[in-house]
Amino acid sequence: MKHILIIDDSPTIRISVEHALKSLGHAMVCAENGRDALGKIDALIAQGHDIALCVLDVNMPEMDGISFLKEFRSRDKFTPVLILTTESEDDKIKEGRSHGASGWIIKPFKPDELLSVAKRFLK
Amino acid sequence: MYERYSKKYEKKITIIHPGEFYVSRNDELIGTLLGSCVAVCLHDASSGLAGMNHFMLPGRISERDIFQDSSAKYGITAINELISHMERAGAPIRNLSAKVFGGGHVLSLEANSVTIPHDNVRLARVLLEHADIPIVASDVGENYTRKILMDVKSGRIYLKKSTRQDVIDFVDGREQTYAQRLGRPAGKAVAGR
Amino acid sequence: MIKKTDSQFNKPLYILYPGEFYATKEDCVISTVLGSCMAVCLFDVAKRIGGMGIFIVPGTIGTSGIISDAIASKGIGDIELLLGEIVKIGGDRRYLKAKIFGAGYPADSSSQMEQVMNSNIKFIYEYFTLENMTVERSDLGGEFRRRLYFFPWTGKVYRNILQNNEESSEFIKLEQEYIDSEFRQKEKFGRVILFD
Repeated sequence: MKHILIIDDSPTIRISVEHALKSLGHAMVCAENGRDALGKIDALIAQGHDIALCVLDVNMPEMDGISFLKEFRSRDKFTPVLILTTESEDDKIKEGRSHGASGWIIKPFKPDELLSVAKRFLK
Repeated sequence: MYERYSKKYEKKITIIHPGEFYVSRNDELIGTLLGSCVAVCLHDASSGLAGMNHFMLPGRISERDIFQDSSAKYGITAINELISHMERAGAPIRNLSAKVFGGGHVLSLEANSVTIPHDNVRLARVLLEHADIPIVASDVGENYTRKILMDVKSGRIYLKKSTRQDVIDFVDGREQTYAQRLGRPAGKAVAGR
Repeated sequence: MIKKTDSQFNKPLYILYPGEFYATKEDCVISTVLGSCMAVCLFDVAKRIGGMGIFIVPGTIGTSGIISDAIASKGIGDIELLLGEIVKIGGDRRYLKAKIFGAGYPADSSSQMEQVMNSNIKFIYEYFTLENMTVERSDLGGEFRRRLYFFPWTGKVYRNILQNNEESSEFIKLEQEYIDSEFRQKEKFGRVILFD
């Protein structure tokens, strides 16, 4: 089964994203930082599941979003990764792009907008 | 800073210039002449202490983040200095009342002629309110120069406002010298805006 | 923000204006004066990291709660900005504790503003419940201006009620300017940039 992985250290944001994307009908898995997410991905793959999309925060403890993205892209070149963050500086956005992010959404986010962007990448 | 004797008030007057402050418990007057600069006058009725400063911000304070802007530090220092010298002289903060004057729009400091006087006044009000010192009188803004005299014992203020061009020219020259010393480019005087 | 290099606490003092936030590892004091706005103080005593943010949720939140509410998302975004800065300097929200203040309103405020204040108070409790973050102190509502001194290293907060300048408060004026601009753009969300 295809899963959406939501990586954010804020429970409020994780619940908000789940709520915004639930109409897609995918299973959703949450992780609270990059390291946690890598563990969850290994577990999902071991169980024969696929990742359809990652929604990824930037500023997180233990392993931040950009470090996760580098690590994830070294294993998986194609699964879309949407950054969802308060970071709005051009340099940060460029860094995300250069490491293979698919898009950059600045918080606060509009649930409908997140849903339509997610749909676009899931096609 | 200099002293002279006033026949009218039959007292000594200590006159302060831009960037200066003065605290006294003598039976005298403290005076200054303001254009876009601001003077904060503090008075403690129970101890008969009074103090005055005369400051300006040498640049525009950005709307949200004046911390990034070193300009504000002159105004902050000027107000802190005055309050702490009042305290050290024996006037506790809870006894103080404040009056704020100046911030006239008499100089054309490039495009910032409205915002600089406004920021000067706002910074004074913010810092006084933060210290919970009541601002009991204020006469600020508009296109006036202001001559103020404060009676140390009573805290009473004698205020004379002017739109005379020769006064504006004099104040303008002096405040610009002060601004340049603080490191901002000078503008030029305009009357009656 | 105003920085005073010296203060009665013998530490640098930062005075925040409405709408500002500041996170730091420095041994300092962060201060403000609140009317209707809320101040969130977050701190990690073990790591000596803390920060304060001052904001308002510009409107009333619907009955469904803060998760799918457009107005609430603004408030969440404001706290996220502060949290993001704290995480950047080494903080971890799992170890942070909170103290919350404000949402008072002036005596002459309209019933609409009263609703907004009540909604703000509901929001902040719901938010910290969802975040599973301990709120060590909450001091909300009332009809007065609060002055806060927050020590980010220890989480200690001194709160005084201001006695003077009620009718001509400059902080209330600054707040009103901030609140007006937040209400004007309450449906404003962050940019969406697609890399393709």
